[in-house]
Amino acid sequence: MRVVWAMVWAQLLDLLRDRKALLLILAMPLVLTAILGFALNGLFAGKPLPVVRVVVHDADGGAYAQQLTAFLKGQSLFRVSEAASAESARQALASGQADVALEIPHGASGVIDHGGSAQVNVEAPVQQAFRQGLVQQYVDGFGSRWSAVSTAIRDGLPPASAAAGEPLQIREAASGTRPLNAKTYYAYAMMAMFLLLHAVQRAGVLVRIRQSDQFKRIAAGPVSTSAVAVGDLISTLFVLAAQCLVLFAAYRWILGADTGPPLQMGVLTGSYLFALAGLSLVIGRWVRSEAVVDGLAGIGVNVMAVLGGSMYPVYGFPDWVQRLAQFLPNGRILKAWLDSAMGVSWHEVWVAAVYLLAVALVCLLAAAVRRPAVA
Amino acid sequence: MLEVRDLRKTYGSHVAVDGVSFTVSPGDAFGLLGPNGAGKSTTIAMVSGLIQPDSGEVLLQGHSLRAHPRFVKQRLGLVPQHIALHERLTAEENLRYWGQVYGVHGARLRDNVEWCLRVAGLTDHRKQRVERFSGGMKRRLNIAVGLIHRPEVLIMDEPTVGIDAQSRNHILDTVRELNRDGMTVIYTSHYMQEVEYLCNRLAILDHGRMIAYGALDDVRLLAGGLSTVRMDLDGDPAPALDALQQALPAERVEAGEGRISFHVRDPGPAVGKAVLALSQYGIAPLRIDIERPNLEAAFLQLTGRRLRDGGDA
Ligand SMILES: Nc1ncnc2c1ncn2[C@@H]1O[C@H](COP(=O)(O)OP(=O)(O)O)[C@@H](O)[C@H]1O
Ligand SMILES: [Mg+2]
Repeated sequence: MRVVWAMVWAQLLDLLRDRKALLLILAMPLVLTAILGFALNGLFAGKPLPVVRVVVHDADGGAYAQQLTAFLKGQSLFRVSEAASAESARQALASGQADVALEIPHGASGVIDHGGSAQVNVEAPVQQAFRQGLVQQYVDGFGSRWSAVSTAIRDGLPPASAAAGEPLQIREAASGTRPLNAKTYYAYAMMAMFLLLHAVQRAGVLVRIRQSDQFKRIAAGPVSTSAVAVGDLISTLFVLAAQCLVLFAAYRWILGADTGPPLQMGVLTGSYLFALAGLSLVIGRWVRSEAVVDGLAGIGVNVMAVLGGSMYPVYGFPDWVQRLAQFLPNGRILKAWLDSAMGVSWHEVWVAAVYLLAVALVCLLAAAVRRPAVA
Repeated sequence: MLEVRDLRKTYGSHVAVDGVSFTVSPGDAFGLLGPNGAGKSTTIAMVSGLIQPDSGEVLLQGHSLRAHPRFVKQRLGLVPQHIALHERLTAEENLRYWGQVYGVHGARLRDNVEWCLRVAGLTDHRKQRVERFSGGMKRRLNIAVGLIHRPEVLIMDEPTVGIDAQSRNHILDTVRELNRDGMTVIYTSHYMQEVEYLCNRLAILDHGRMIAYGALDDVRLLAGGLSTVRMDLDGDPAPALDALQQALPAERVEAGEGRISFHVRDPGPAVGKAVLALSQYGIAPLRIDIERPNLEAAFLQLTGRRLRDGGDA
């Protein structure tokens, strides 16, 4: 272990004194974020991000049902489609065309208008529990407003909005969830991408060291290959964490991005950094030439960034791309960060964290089977 | 005692090292001499445990490298051919770091760092970052780092390739000093002068094979003990050729434009006879070079090729 720390210490001290590298790691992402911010302005800013795809089957057709549908359609958080039957709504759900299905049963409007509570079913596959909860909150919120209004009408008070013939609007989100803003999306998209980029670049450093006589010196020493790997892993983690902190601070306090609960963000970010450090190590072990790593950093990271939603809002992509994106560590973490910023349940956080840690484990195993060869 | 037994290494169908065996006793300065591509680096890499041999064995004090890698590696010190240092760390930090990698800690590490700085002549530059060092200083530190754990055997792979004459001399002197102080050294080079200067025993490699092995003087004699005499003349030697051949019956005299050369066992009398023979034809020597028996001649004798194609050696 002493050897490992000596190696980590030397690598970090070396990096710390390398002003050019530091600038590249810490300042560059900020500059690029600013530049890309202008370029991507049209994509992210202003335009609401459709987050949850809701399919509504209205078996009721009454005033309440119609207004509820209109209300959901009016929310930037939802992309609402209507189904002709409960069956086709369920199909949309099963085929993944929708995240959440809303079944407004026959007679719901009548029940609620007479002071009862409406039985609106919000259905979703298990993995969409968070989105289901989100929709449920909106539906419940709308329902309680509606009851209040209809009670008021019954009692002879003039319903302000209903009288004006406008759809009832509830602006604030239900408690516990916040709608996603473009800045937040952009900030996490950039963070996911830059950390990924840096992890791959770091693999290039590993390849370069392995080809240098420095590595011969280590290989000639009484140090096990696993100690070398752990040292590489830890120093990469340190560097990624430093970069992550700087980016996060900038995005949070300069860009004004939302953030989830610190513990959730910490668990997610830690898992992501492990996955990236693992990825870095596996590339560093398996790739022999620095040129190939440069290619990976150039093309590979860009492709992953696009698929993972760092270039365009992932919600605009076809479903299969969105599903694919969840296999990419950067796609996965972006969604998880955003979910956390919106107020997600711990269950979802764990699912994402466990997936990322599994990626890290697979990478470490793949790196372990490959003994670094002396050229 | 370091024992290398029948090492063999092939890359694809190419045999890089083909049955190399030698023994290095404590206090030896052992040379591995051979032209580029002879298999010196590959041999060194197998001896220091960087690569696995296809067959053969390396034993240090009877412990095999394969079975007891830690025991052996802890007692070997490798100086890689290229600078293997952290550029942005100071000389002292580098020594401390590599010391820890080799398992040296505490007071012993402090002592060894001081000693290494002294050996490298860098005590006054200990707090300076390596990136600000001159090429020669880096070389010296590169060697010193190989000594940080006080190895029993110091292994150096062509440490003087591509550096200026002054640094080269410093390195040669440093290695000689270390060896005189009792350090066992394995030194590879394609410069026969370096090996002649430093080593008491050597092996000559060519195409992965060992073509000569033994004490320096013994290997030299493989050249047949012939010295080479070259004379630059103030006239054309052609008319005097018969007389020269008669004066030096055992040797074949080669004549060129304004110069002659021949190989003899005992150059003193032969040169006298040649000068006398030439003077009868009114030719006087402008310059006489006598090359004593050396490893270059031995290599020539053994392979029919020169060790290096020209150059500055
Ligand atoms: N990793 C390798 N892959 C393929 N061939 C190699 C490798 N290392 C060395 N060789 C070949 O083995 C031979 C010996 O190389 P080397 O030991 O480096 O010679 P030297 O150090 O004496 O110049 C050369 O022909 C070289 O091309
Ligand atoms: Mg070599």
